[in-house]
Parts: sequence; C-alpha cells; structure tokens
Amino acid sequence: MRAARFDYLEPRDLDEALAALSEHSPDAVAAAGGTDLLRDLRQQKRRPSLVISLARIPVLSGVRSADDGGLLVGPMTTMAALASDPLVADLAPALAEAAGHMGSPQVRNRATIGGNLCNARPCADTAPPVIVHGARLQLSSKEGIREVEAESFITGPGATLREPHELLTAIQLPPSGVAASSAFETLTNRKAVEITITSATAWLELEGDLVKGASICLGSVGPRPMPGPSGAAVLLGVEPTPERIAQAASATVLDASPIDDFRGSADYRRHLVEVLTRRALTRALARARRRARGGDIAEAQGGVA
Amino acid sequence: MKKMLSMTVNGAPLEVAVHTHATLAEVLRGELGLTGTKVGCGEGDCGACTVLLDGEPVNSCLVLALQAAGRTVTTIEGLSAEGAAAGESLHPVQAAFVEAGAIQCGFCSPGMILSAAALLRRCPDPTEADVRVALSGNLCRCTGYQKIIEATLAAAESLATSHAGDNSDREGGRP
Amino acid sequence: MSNHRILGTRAVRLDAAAKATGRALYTDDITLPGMLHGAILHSPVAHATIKSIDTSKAVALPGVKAVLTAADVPEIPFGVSPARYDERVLARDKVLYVGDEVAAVAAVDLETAREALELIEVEYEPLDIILDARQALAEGAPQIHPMYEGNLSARVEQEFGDVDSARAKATVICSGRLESEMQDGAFLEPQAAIAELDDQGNLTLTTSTQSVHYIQRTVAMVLSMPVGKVRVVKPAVGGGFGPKAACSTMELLTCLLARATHRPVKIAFTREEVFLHSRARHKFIHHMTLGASADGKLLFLDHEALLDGGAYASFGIATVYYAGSLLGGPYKLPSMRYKGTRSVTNKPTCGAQRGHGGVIARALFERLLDEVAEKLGADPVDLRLQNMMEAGDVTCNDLNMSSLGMRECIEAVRDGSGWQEKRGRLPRGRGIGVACGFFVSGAGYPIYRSDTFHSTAEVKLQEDGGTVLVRSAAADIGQGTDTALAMIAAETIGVDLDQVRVISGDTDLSVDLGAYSSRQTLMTGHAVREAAQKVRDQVLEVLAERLGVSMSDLRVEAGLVLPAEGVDLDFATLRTQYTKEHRGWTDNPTDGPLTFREASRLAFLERGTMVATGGYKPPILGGKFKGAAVGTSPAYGCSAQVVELSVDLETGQISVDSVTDAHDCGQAINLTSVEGQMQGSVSMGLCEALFEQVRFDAKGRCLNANLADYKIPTAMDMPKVDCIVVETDEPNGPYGAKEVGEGAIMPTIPAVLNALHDALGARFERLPLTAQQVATALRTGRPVAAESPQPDTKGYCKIDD
Repeated sequence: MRAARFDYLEPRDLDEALAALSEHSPDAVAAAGGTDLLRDLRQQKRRPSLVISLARIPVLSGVRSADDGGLLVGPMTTMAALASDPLVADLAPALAEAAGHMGSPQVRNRATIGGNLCNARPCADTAPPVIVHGARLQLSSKEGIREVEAESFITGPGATLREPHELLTAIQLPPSGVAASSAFETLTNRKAVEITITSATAWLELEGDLVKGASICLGSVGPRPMPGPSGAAVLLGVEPTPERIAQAASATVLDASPIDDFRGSADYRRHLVEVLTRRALTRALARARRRARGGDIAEAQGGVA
Repeated sequence: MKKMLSMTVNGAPLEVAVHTHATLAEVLRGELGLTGTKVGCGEGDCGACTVLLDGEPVNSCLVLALQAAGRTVTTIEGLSAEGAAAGESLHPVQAAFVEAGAIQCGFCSPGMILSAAALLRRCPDPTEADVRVALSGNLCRCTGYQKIIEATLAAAESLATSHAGDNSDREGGRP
Repeated sequence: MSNHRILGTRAVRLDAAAKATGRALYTDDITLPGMLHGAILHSPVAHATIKSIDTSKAVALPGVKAVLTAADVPEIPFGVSPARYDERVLARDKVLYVGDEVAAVAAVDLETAREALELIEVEYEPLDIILDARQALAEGAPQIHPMYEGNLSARVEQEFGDVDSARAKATVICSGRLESEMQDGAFLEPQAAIAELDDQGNLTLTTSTQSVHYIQRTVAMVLSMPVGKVRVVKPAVGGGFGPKAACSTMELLTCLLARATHRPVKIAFTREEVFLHSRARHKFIHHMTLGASADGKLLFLDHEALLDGGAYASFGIATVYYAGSLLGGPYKLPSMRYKGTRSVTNKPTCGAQRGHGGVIARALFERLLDEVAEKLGADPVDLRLQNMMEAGDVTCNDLNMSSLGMRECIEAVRDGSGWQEKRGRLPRGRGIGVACGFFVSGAGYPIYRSDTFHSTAEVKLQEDGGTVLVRSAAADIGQGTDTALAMIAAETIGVDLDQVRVISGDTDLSVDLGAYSSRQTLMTGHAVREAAQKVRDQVLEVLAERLGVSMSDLRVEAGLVLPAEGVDLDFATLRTQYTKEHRGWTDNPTDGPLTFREASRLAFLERGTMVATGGYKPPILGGKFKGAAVGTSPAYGCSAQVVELSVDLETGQISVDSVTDAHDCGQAINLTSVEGQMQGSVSMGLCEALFEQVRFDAKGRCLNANLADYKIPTAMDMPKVDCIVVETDEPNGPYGAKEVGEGAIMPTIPAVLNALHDALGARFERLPLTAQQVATALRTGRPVAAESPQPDTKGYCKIDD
C-alpha cells in the first residue's frame, strides 16, 4: 500500500556500488529494473533503508562475446535487449525466447536478467535457459569476486547464493558447440502479461547422429528452477528419435515437484512438464541440426519475438 | 526523504524535488500536473501509466522517479506537440485513434497511443501481429482492441505518406 | 435503410480528441484547493464480530483530519432496491467479508491517510466462514447477515404455461448444468470520488459512476439531506460495465469525511479495492431441462439457478430475476418454469455486470439447444431459425418483441462465417459454434418504485443562434452516449453535428437514471429528440409568423432553413433584418439560403432564450406476476455469433480464431460506436469464457485482486471480430434505435461452448474454460461436472483453518 521510506543512491561505478552495499547491507537493496522491487516496496514486502540503483553502471549492461567464444551477459541487460540480441539468438536461443515472452513490452523494457535471477521466483523465466546453457554467475563484493554455477545459484523461492553485500556482476555463457542449441517452451492462459504456469527449457548438443550433451530445466514446478536430469540421461549417447525424445520428456516428469496453487494444479503441471519438455527438446534438436549444417542463423532464430 | 530530480519532460528540462519512494507516475501526475498519465493498477499490469523513457515504453508506476534522472520522458501531453504536423494539434497516431473510433472510455488511450507511437518509430511498417505484440502490455476493457489495431496500422500508413512527401524526418533525432 | 443525414453515419466521438491527448479529466485527475485524501480500513477477515475499535493513535497522527467509525456515521441502511437496504456505511458489530468497511480517515495526503489506517486497532472475534452458496443454504449453516434467515437473499419461483404437460408431450429432452465463477468488471479506471460542501450546505460529489441520479438519491437519504442540495457530477469515466451503477460506501464516506472536515475530500480505490468492492458478476450454477417435439419445436424449459451473492444484495435481486426472465426469448418457448435462489456468503458482493444476470443462463440454454439439435439430427442454425421469434411475438413471460431482427442476424453469421462449409467438417481440435441472445433496451421500471421520468433532457439554442446545447444527466462512461445524443439532436433539428454541444452527467441538468440496462440511447434519446423537436418548432414558429406562412411550409436541413417541398418562399426580408441587427459582426452570411443560426438568433431576439425539455418514461409493461417487472423493456436488441476456435490437444489451451457477430440495434445511431460495443462485448465474453475468475483462499481472501492474475484479454488474445450491423425499425425507439451495449455479449460464451463441442465432442459444464480444465477433460475423457444448484445435501460443514 504505502511505500516504505528509504534513501536512494545511484552510483556511477561498480566500486561505489559495492562499497555502499557493503556498508549498508543487509538493509540496502540493489535495484535493477525495479519491476519486482517497486511492487515489493509498495506492498511493504521489503522495507530497505537504502535503495542502490545499478542503472548508471555501464559495465553491468549489454551482451558481448567472451574471449572463449562464449557470451558475457551484463546483469542489467533488459529482457527487451536480450530478446533482440543477435548473439543471444545464435548461441542461446532459449534465453532470447524466455526474455521475449516475459511480462509485457513495458516490463521487458525495464526488467533485467540480473533482477530476474536474483529475485529467484520459481517462475523466473530466464533462469532455466541460463541453467541449461551451463552458465556461471559472477558475484562481486568489496572483498572480491567469486563464481557460482547458475544451476546452484537459486536455492529456493526468493533465495540465492548471493550474500546481501554481493552483487551479481556477470552471467557467463560458455561457448556453444557447432551442433548445439536450445529452446524454451511455456504455457500461460493468456497470451501476454502472464505468469508462467509451467515452462520447460532444453539444450542439446549433437555429435553426428547422437546426443553428446543434454540439459533440461523446468520453471514453476518446484521451489526453484528444477533441473531435469532424468530426461537428459535418457538421451545421452543415443540417437534423438521422436520416441526417445518422448521417453525423455516422460522421464522428466519425475524431476518436477509442483504444488497446487490457484494458477494450476500439481497434476496439470506434471502433465505440462511432459508436453513442454518434448516440444522444447524437439525444437532444440531441430535448431542444433540446423546449426550443425551451418544453416542460416536467422532461420535458427525462428520464433524469437 | 526528498531529493532533487532533473529530467527532460516533453522536451523541456526541469527540476523537481521528489520523495525517494515516489514513482514516476506519481511525480508526473502529482507534482507536474500531467494527469494524462493514468494509473489503472499501480502494479505494472495494465499499462495505463505507460510513458516513453528515452523513447521506450515503460510502466511509469514501476519506475522510481529518481530513476528518470537525466533521461527524457514523453507523456501523452508531449506527444502531440512532438509529432504533429504544423497547425495540427494531434500526433498522427492520436488522429488515427480519434478517426477510427479506437477510443471508448479513454482510460487506456494515453498509454496505448504512446505504445503505438513507439512501435511506429521503431518499426514504421508493422504487421498486424507486430501491433498486437507491441500493444500487449496495454489492457483495454472496452474495445476488444480491433479498432485500436486498425488505427495503429492506419497511422503507420499516414506517417509513411507524410514522410514520403517530406524528406526531413520531423521525428528524427530520437533514440 | 434510413434517409437520415446524421444517424447511421460514422461520427467521430465528441470526447475522442480530449481522451487521445490526455486532457479528458477523470475523477482522480481532479485536485481541489485544500483537498484532503481519504482512505478506507477494510476488514482483513471474512466473518467476525467487532469487539473493539481504537482509533486514538490514528487521530493523534499529525496530518490526520478525521477518523470515522460506525459510531460517527449515520445508521441509515442503504442498498439498491428499497426492500433490500442491507448495507451500512461502516460495519458496527460484525464484518461479513474481507473488504467490509470498518473505518475511514481523511488526512492531508494519501500517505498519511494510509499510515493512519495502520494505526487503527480493531479486535475481531472470528466466526465461521461460508464461502460457498450451496453450503450457505445447507442445513445448519450459521446466519451471515441478520436480514437473511438461512442465508437466503432472494428466491424466485415462476411458471409460465404448463411445463409438466409440455414435458409429457416432448420427444427430445436434454438436461444439463453449467457452473461459472465470480467475475470482476475490470474496468480500467478504479472508482474515485471527491466531495465538497459549500457555505450554504450544498454538497457536490464528483464521482466515477454510471448513474448520477441513483447516487444523488442515496447520498441524500444516508446524509439526511434534501435531494436538491446534493449535486452529483460525473466527469470522464473509465468504464463501468455494471459495478459502478450503485452507490458505494466509498462515495458515502467521501461525503461524510467532507462534512466532518469542512474540506473537500477525495477517495480513490486501489485496484485491490476494486476487487474487494466488486459488485460485479455473480457465480452462477444453472440446471436446465429443455424439451422439443419430434419436428424440432421447443416445448418447455425447466430451469433452476443458484447465485452466490456475496455479503450484500446490491443489484442481486434483479440479477436473480433476470437469470430466469431473459430466457423467455428470442425463441418461441411456450412454457418455462424457473426456480432461482440467491444466497449470501462471506465474499465480496456481486451485482450487475454487462448482460445482467442473463449471460451464464444464456450460455447453458444455447448449449442445450445444440444438444437438442444433435439429438434431432438437425443443424444448430436451422433449429434456431425454426424456433426464433419475430417482430410482434410476445414471450411466455410477457416480453414484447416489438422489433426483432433475429432471422437477419442468424442468416448473416451463417453466411458470413462459412458455417455450411465448416460445420462438422473441421479436424479434431478445431471447432465452430453458433449461439444467439437478446437483451433489454432499458429496464421497464426504475430500481425504486416510482412514476418518475426515466430520462429528461433540455435542449437550448445558444443566444447567438449558432450552437445547440444538449443538457442531460445521462452518463457517458465510455460507450459514446454524448455523441449519440448530439447526433439525435442534430438530426432532429436539422443542423450539422459540429453545431451541437453536450453537457451531461450532472444531476443539476436533468433526471436520468443513468447508464445501465442498455437504456440511454433509447430513453435519453427519446428525451433529447423531444426537446430538440420542440426547440426547433419554437424557432420555426417565429419564422412562420414573420413570413406569414404555416410552420409546415418550412424545413431545416444541413443547418439551413428551406421551404418545404413545393413551397416557394422568399427569406430575403429576414436576411436583411438579421444583417441590420448585426451590423459590425464579422461573420454575417451574405448570400445563400437562410441559416438555422440566423433563424434561431431572430427567434431569440423576439422571444428570449430558446429552450425546451423532453422526457421519457416507458409505458406500463409486462405481466401481473411477481417479478414481472424484471426483463420488461420498451424494446429488445438481439444478436447471433459464430465462433471458430482451435484447441491445443495436449496443453488444452484454446485459441479463438475468429468471431462473426451480427447484432440488431434497430436504427444505428453511430455506426462506429455500434461496432465498438459489439467488439467490446465479444472481448469481455470470450475472456469470461476462457480465463476470468475471481479466486479466494479458504479464509475468504481474494487471491488474484490484480490485473496480472485476474485475466482480461490482451491485444494478443483477441481474434478479429467481423461485425455485421443489422438494422430494424424499432417502433418504441427514437428513430427506431435500440440497444447494443449488453445484448452483444449474450451469444459469445455459448458459441465458445458449442465450438468446443465441435472441436472435441465434449459438453463442458464449468467456466472458465482454462487450459487446465480442457487438458484434464482430454486426459480423463470427460469434462469436470458442475455442482447442483441445490443446497449442499451433506449439510453445513465448517471450514477448518
């Protein structure tokens, strides 16, 4: 209802931000796009004494190629920027799809990947793509920098490995194999401005006709993004026929632990896990094959808004 | 706690003291009297409070006013002045909305028009699907969107025609 | 079909430019000097006695100017229908739902007011919560509202014709249920109100309402003020759809806080408060049995309905009657039995919403009609054509179809949708469905018993002669009434639309019952037409005298005064007089025919201000039985729709691909606005069919009181709606006009249900048709069954915490 009163700081560089965070944590909160934060402030779910805006720290924004051929994604990169970034569409199409699906155009113009990951809602759409791509997250504090696996970063609803005095300063996506790609599938009732009922993200890497690497991650079916190792295991080292993909999708259901809530029942969510995982695997496979053939990149971006 | 905020609103630089927790929507409406920015939910769900922040549509209820420091804000009040041909009081998108019957209760109209104008600036020749995506964050309960979409497509045509006859892009120079 | 100059055209709405530029003022855009901000304390619990309220800390907060509790406000009960005045401004002993109003604060700013609310300490003693209508009526259920024994808010029992003997003759009998969920109006502008008192004790309430008249009456009653000292003004209103038709506690509190503080006070709802206040669509459970003869003639309808009313009555008594009476048409149905029950529960109060009471009933009826067609082996379109009413038919419950373009509507959607090529030929997962509906064009009676005019209006010619001013208390809430009234005035007088100005939505201007039951085009239209006719005649009378001719020798067209057909007249002397009189004016006409402006000016110079009033009240309508008033109307609009949809056979998600919609609105006034109402109705209907439902937890707290989790359509959810405007000549409408605002929603939900059956072969019994529900039906082989509209036979069962 009534926003709590707080001081506001807008540091111009990372050191200033880390110093302020260190001094004032845990009562300080870092503001990324603010689309979640403003709601929380209004509903008094958070009552910080200081809000530190990260908007004026150039190093935190944007996507660029890393020296190893991977991608460095700044946490302040907006969903809109991710959804339309050609590097992301090429290397991590699932991430572009997830970012392009989230919220509304207005929200996508503000919401950032860093905010989405650090707020750690079970329905955070960018977390599963980041996880299936095996990203590492860079956490910085006044004391230094450490890296954690994206897969272990989110520990529960609203909870992450980030300490209050730390900032997420980079999302590092490893280089993509020539025959690897990903896809994101989600189900919502309405077609926009929606909260995901269930999502499935799949990443596949091929070697010849066989699956060399597979990764699956599910959204909104557990307290955090839920990895789908059971499904991935079905595919490793085998030819990804439609039957195998269906088996993998079916096996993935075991990895979900959804609950009943007013957005959807646990039973329906389990059903969606199977359907959406199959669709995500199928599309990731088609993309991986196209990449392997050196297919048109633009074509491989199909479906990206 | 109040802090000074400098920003450019509808082309004019200004300074205003704002509460640190004040949203951009609250400052535009309350401090600056720009009540064309409507608040339908205050939670970023309806898009009625859409303004252009550095040219891009955002929900002004989800932006702290201080986050607009040093940026340019365009509200519905600024759109006509900015985009209208000489002697006209309406921006081509506004004119198309008026003409097509795209406005009923009008509460979503300012935000909707700004989203449409931003789309046409970025994508002068949109498909119907492009328009639907671009307006998907602006809820309308009255129209079923059909006349809004027709109006946006008509505005694209009228902008294309006026640009074809006028090489100097009167909207140029914006990000 | 008409030879009107103005009517039936596509006029640009008078308010469109102001709304496009953001200059149109809605209530919350208005700030008055010295204005205070109010806020309301709502009950956080669904059912409890209030043991104590301590406001001392709130009163002590700097900036707080008034704190009101039940002890400080009038005890006068209010509501919608006088027999069910069951609300008090603030709860005294007991709260009945999460959201019930307990206290109110006025302070120098909104933050202070809200902070003060947090300082009010209320001690509640919890009572058993009842959230389910069947439970509320069950044996042993505790009583929620002191007025409603057994939690029975209203019961209707009606029978027309002889259902039992018709059933004995029927060869095809179809029976089924439909259960919906509570829905929200979800208009974009949350309610807001500003009250101020002047030094003579006159109160002005500026409010986001559909009816300034009913608000004025209720405010005067509760504040014990003469009606004439209460002025209610409606600025621009951001949609209403029903829930803004009744006077709210918030409006009354705004007035009471202004009286307590001697300063203007504004209260504006948050979106959450819109959901808590609600007054929107009830949850309905219908059970119907429909019978037909072997040759496809409908014989009877046996209908039972249960409405979950929430805590108070609001419009709900009318709702439960409408749920039955609106099935009398648009088909020839010789007998109909209806048992309707409305219960109170510990939830927000439900009331009127677009298609009042009839929408879910219509959905089940039209679904059963398809089932009858299936059993008969008939095409659903043909069965409808066979049974539909025509102009002049009277329903078994005495509703008179004075005009009815039902055939034109059905044929138009059949031909416009490719029905014959598609029906039964689409692949599994795709379907096409048809349905019809009809609706009142204005309720035949006001909500309080009275012989009042339903609408009066004044038309004044400005003294320079050039402008026609229409003054009315009608409420343009976005549907375009002002423009329609201007068009009727322009048509009647014979001037162009840009010569007409409209001031409206103000109780100082006229009496008008407001924007509900699709009444304004017909009723206010009549009043404006009469006033315009009179004022035009006053001008022509002066001219005729001057010219020494009869009034019938003159006509007005396109702003010019012309001789009637075959009459030869010379206006030169009048022109000369006018020019002499206006020496020095810069815009005197020099040649061409005499303008109406000149004529009107000359008339003013001779007789003073040219002003006339008009009024309308419906004739005595309907039968003599109890509840006969509800459903009566001077005219009925009707419509037919064909919906085509696709179902994702795995996820259950439905995509509506196209809608073909035909509506008979009588004479269209503004064609663009007619289509706008049709498209808006379809949009509301589709999303009520697919997504919309207000959800509660076991403690009666609303789970989705926001526009992210309460889903109204986005631009990506709406298909193209192909609008076909059918025009009939309604004898009881002004220029033959009748409604389009609500009837157009009637066929949408059943057309979706019927299309879904075509796609999947299943008859769904629950709304909304969420992806989950459809997927579950696909997996289990059958849709989830609806509940019975009977009280829970297991008896009352307490909800465990």
